[in-house]
Amino acid sequence: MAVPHRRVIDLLFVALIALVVAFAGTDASAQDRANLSVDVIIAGHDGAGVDPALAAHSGRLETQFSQFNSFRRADSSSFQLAPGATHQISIPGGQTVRFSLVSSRSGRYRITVQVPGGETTVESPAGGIFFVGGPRAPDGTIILLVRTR
Amino acid sequence: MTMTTETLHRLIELYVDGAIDERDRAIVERALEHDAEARLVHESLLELGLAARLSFDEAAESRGFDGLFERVMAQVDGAAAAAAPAARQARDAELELLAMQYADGELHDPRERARVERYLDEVPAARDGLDAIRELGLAARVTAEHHADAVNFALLQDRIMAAVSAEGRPAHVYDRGVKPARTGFWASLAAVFAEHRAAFTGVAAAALVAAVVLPLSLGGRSSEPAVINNYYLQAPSIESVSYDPGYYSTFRPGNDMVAPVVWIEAEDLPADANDDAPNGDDRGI
Repeated sequence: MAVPHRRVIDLLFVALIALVVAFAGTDASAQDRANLSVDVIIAGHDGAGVDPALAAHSGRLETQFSQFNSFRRADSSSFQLAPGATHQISIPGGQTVRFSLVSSRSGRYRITVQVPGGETTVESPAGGIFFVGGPRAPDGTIILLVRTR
Repeated sequence: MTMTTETLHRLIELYVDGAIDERDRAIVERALEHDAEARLVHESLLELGLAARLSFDEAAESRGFDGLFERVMAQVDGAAAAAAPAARQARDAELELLAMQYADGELHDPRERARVERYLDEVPAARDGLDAIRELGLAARVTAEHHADAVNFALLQDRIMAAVSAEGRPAHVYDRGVKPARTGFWASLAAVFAEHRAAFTGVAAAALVAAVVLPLSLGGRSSEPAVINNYYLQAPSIESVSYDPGYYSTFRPGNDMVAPVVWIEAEDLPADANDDAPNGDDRGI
């Protein structure tokens, strides 16, 4: 039976729409994910200054944490979070910190950071930087420098 | 260096006025050397300035400032007879205004025109001044016409007429009137398009969506913090902070200059240890 050409064109149109929707869906899920990088910093009072590994943030650290005079990077990690997912890192003193992506919308990410003794939720845009600090380490105080990408 | 014609003309004006710095002077002089239009503008401005200066000089001379002292002294001395010729030569402000209107062709009352003509006959200085004003106006008009020559008003008129015609006529009438009828393959293609207009419109919309979406999905993502001169484009904001018993919390909101800080620390630390917490906006949220 011959298929009317009108039917063929309509089917092609529907197929094209489905293809576009599939592409858009894939991209949307990729955009929903947050890329985080975390520097684990040990802040202290031994006068050592800022670790060269933290040179890009030296002004920020010295200004915002003027109660300390030494900043050493103990660890650094980068990871990706999908909405609802959690990532855990270890910090000195046998402690852990958990990062969860609560939601993301229009390039802004709601991230919950659980540290020993409490938690905070921060809404951060791509490129945003925030600090979570306070946990004690054997040789100082821990400050987490969190960047969303 | 790229420079608009308007900017160059402005620089030439400053150059003529002598109010230009060395760098711009060099630019103008280079333009005068190589650019015929720049030379034309320069020369026009010089001519205009010269005409204006001559006119004002002439007008100043006609004021007869040299005789002012003598006239005043004559009046002071009560030499009315000596002052009479000066009085006859005195300029009349009202008539001078009327004379300017007369020169511009704006004086239509026959009686006032007669007054002005009589005044100009009796006071040569007034006539000289009026002539100077006329020369100045002529110089300005010549300069303006000089610039106007560079504009193709005929073409401008054509463009305006074309725009008016297109606007005044419905587009479909225009198309039907001009385009030849389709035949053969194009006719059948047009028929298919007409039959499936909705589908084609949908495909076009889908293609538009794809054009927007695909570059986003293939173009990668920003990998560096959006920090310009140490200013955050958008600072993160702290939504909530909670802490367990035996801990306390303080926080400092971020702004364009500083990143937000959340501090959660155990309370059972040595007394001086809590001094490490930043000075936040709140304590124990």
